[in-house]
Amino acid sequence: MSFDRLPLPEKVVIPSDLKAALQTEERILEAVAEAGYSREAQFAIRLALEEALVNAHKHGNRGDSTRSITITYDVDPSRVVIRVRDEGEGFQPRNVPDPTAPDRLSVPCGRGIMLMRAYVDDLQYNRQGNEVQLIKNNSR
Amino acid sequence: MSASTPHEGIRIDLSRHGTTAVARICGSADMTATEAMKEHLLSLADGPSERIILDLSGLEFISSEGLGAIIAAHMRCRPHKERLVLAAPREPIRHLLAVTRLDRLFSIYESVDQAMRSEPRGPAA
Repeated sequence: MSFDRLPLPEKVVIPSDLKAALQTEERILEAVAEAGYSREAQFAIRLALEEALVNAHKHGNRGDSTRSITITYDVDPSRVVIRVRDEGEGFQPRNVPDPTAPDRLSVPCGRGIMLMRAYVDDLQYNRQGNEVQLIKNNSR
Repeated sequence: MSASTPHEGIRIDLSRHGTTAVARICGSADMTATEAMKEHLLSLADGPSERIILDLSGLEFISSEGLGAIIAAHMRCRPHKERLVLAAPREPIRHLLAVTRLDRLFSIYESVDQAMRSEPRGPAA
């Protein structure tokens, strides 16, 4: 339930706001492209990062733009590590229902965690549940 | 054909063929675009079209929020499962629909032409 606390070299703190989140996403994705990741991997990282940022804003910070989102990351040619932290009280990911269950397919929300898990190589939350770490290896 | 830009980065081109509406979604349905896209699709679902084909051939990216917008429009079209269908998704989007198992919720056609030729199958179970 928790990941190692090795510091990551890049850190961005933004207001909890979708435009600011998108700008940060684009900045990280530029670094990913420059590091030589395939289009498929770039799509996967974009999707997972977007889900993490939207969850931090909507669910963690409850859309409150006076709160912050902290993004730390490390992009190198072999792997991408990104952590997204909100100022909410956290949650237990295991309590989120499976969105692929037949009776939940028509529910419009609740797919973010499942998609992150599906598109990165490793996904972990801290103990409190207000920070997620995404790792994507470069499988060239 | 009428073009609408619900939000920067995404465009919806709407064309009508009899009682069928074809909405071609182009660009990225990212976190800042999905709310506007949802409003647009719900408005289409509330309209008179007997059939709505979402042409995804120009869709480069969509997140779970964007998928939720399409699901909301689809549910607005109930009980007729075939009133809103998907056509021509690119490979990454097709894969995403499979991963989420939304390929079981939606009818997905290889092309708009194929969707146009298909027969609506009546109310969903």
